Amino acid sequence: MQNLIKNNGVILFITLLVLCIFLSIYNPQFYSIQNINSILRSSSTVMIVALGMTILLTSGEVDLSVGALMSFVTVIVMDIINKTGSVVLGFVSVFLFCLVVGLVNGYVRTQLRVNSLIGTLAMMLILQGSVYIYSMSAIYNKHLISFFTFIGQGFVFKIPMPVIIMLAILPFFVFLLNFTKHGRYFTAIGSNPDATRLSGIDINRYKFIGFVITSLLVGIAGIILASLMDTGQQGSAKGFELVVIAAVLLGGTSFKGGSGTIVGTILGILVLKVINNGIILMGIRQEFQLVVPGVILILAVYFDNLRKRSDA
Amino acid sequence: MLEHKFKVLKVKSLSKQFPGVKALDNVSINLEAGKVHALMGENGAGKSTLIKILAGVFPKNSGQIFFDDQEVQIDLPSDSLDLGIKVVYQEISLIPEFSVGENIFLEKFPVNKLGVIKWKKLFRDCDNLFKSIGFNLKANAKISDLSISEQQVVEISRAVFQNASLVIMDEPTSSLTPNEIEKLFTVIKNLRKQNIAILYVTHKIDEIFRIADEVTVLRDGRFISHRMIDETTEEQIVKDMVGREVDSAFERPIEISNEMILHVNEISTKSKLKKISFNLAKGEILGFFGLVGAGRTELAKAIYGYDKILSGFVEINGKKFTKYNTTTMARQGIGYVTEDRKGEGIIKDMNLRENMTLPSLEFFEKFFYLNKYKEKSFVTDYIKKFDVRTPSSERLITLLSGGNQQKVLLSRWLLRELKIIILDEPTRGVDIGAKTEVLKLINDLAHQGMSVIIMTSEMNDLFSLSDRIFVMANGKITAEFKKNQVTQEQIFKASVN
Repeated sequence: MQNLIKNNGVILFITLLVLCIFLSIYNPQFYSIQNINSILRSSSTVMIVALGMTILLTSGEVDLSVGALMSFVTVIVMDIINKTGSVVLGFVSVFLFCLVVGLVNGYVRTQLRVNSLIGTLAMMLILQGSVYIYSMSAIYNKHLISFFTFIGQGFVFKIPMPVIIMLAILPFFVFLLNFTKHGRYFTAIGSNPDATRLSGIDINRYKFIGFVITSLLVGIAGIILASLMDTGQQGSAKGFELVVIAAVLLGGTSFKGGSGTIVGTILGILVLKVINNGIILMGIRQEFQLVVPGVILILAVYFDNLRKRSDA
Repeated sequence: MLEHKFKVLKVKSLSKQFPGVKALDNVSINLEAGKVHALMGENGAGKSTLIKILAGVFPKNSGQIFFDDQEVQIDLPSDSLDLGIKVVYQEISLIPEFSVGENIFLEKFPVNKLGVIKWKKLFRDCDNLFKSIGFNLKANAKISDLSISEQQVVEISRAVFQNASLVIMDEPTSSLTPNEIEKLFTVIKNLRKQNIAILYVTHKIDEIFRIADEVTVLRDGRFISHRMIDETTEEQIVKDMVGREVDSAFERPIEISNEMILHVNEISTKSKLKKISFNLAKGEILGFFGLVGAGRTELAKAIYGYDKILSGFVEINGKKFTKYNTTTMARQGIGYVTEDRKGEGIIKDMNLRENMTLPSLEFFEKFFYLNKYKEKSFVTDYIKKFDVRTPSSERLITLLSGGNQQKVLLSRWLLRELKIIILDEPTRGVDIGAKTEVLKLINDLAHQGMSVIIMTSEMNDLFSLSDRIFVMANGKITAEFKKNQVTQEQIFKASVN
């Protein structure tokens, strides 16, 4: 029992369960297929990016530029497909762009040795500004290719496509973090970079990989978002980075690195999203969608610290 | 002009126990006002522990401290400061962006009723203070523009200003030029005139004959001797310091193979090393001795690729390397075990198994899949082989004792095929029983053909294993000796060069 309480995942799971039961009783609409699908769909873009963020935070780094990059991606993908009529070209340009951003983030962190909190904050500003240089106005879907719309809005066996995309990526990351040496290295780097380097591991290479993976995942999430909105919009994912980081931290990943699990991240996202949903269902003012997660995040990290202190 | 709190500060049978090691055992020392008392001893003799108890950093386990006949309690750093005990550490603790005057008056700025600082008074007082201890320094100079020795004098002035009755100096000359040392000695002599007691901690024997009135020697946490300077000799003090018998030496082969495995050629680094060269043969154990700051750790890290080398090269099995990192060296079959187990060794969020296998995970990999069952069984074998005391391989590394952690860090490298292992202070923080086990393990490895480099400041480790001994000081190799052809005294002398 003591061990159960000490496990962050179990606490989150119970929280999630209590929330769901409470909301179901309060408003039976909660467990309607439509509502559950909407929760899952909005969770999936967060989840996709959070996979990368979990790796980064576990290895002691952070990427604040994901929201700005995601907005940029919606603009690029819509614009290129409009211009070329080719979905493939649109995707290729998105991933090339994301690759470059990830490499720059990695370069700034490992070669210029700028703390990633600062380096990616700067990248966020650069992207937020340059997206307007790219295009001053929002870009609407003029190509009307149905496959593109299907990515964000479609269903397969009544399951929303974004959820399916997320489920297709997820196992790869669960495997990477839990069953490969690379996952072990990410944790080791976050926990003690000097010791890891002294074990003959090229920690800069892994940091590079972390930033690049995160950026590429943002590419996927950005394409989904563009499809959902049917628009490329410069500020469409503003503040998205904070939601992602909050969810990952709520899931038990340490901001200082060294510990983190995908399961925790999944639970963290679901808790946040169910709370959001509950606020709407209960007819509370929407502004609380920001207030409540903020409070919960502080409490979660506080309780986590308490538990760790009692271990020592 | 200053009010003094004691004629004699008496420390009576002070003891301090750390997990697994008795750092201070029944040590007594008397510090007289207006006298310079030197405290000497090798690394680990207990000097720092004694200082830290006087400074209130560590609580003592037993013993008493008296100001004349009045017992005083030192539980916290603030107690110590209130009593007028001031430590000038090796690392300067001034605010680099502030001026000299601001630093000295930090706790007690002269202010008017509104709380505005009276700068003129501050600078004038500061100048007077410097005059009183015989030192010339501008009160408005910025600390970061000063040399280390000047910064030290600022620290000392601060102590005088704070009405210190005892000033403790921890290796004050370790980074000073001869000229600067002269200046510091003048300051110390002036302090003595002001009836301040001075505890002068050092390795350098010649210095104490110039500046100290009396000397106390510690060894292994115990009091060894107390002598008046004019009644003793350098030889006598060295004997007091190193006089410990070396534990039984391990059996080493008489002839070492002449198959050269590592050749280090004139490597230098930015931070410390100056043109270091040596050779290492297959199955040989090299011991590097040096005091703190001699450059042992820096040498280990430079060979292993943690620190960049500026010039020179390292040759392994005939292959030359000038630009390399830790990954290169690990692939060449070099392993490194750090002196800083907590900071650079263990990964505290991981368990024993994960810590042990970190550099050799390829071993358990099939395509990309990491076979944890195979990993676990390997680790369990090594736990048995090296007698690591733990309930299971899944125990969190931080819950093991120092000796057991060290065995895990050693085995970290033994899972893979290793040619050379570099061990930095392999027995530091390891309790006495486990020390011999660790040393035996190292000897066994060398017998199996592995080449070993040991960096140490412990004579015992040095003598019980090394085939050849190198002594380092100031980033250079100052002497090389063959086993059995050297005494502890000779080594010690070469290391204080």
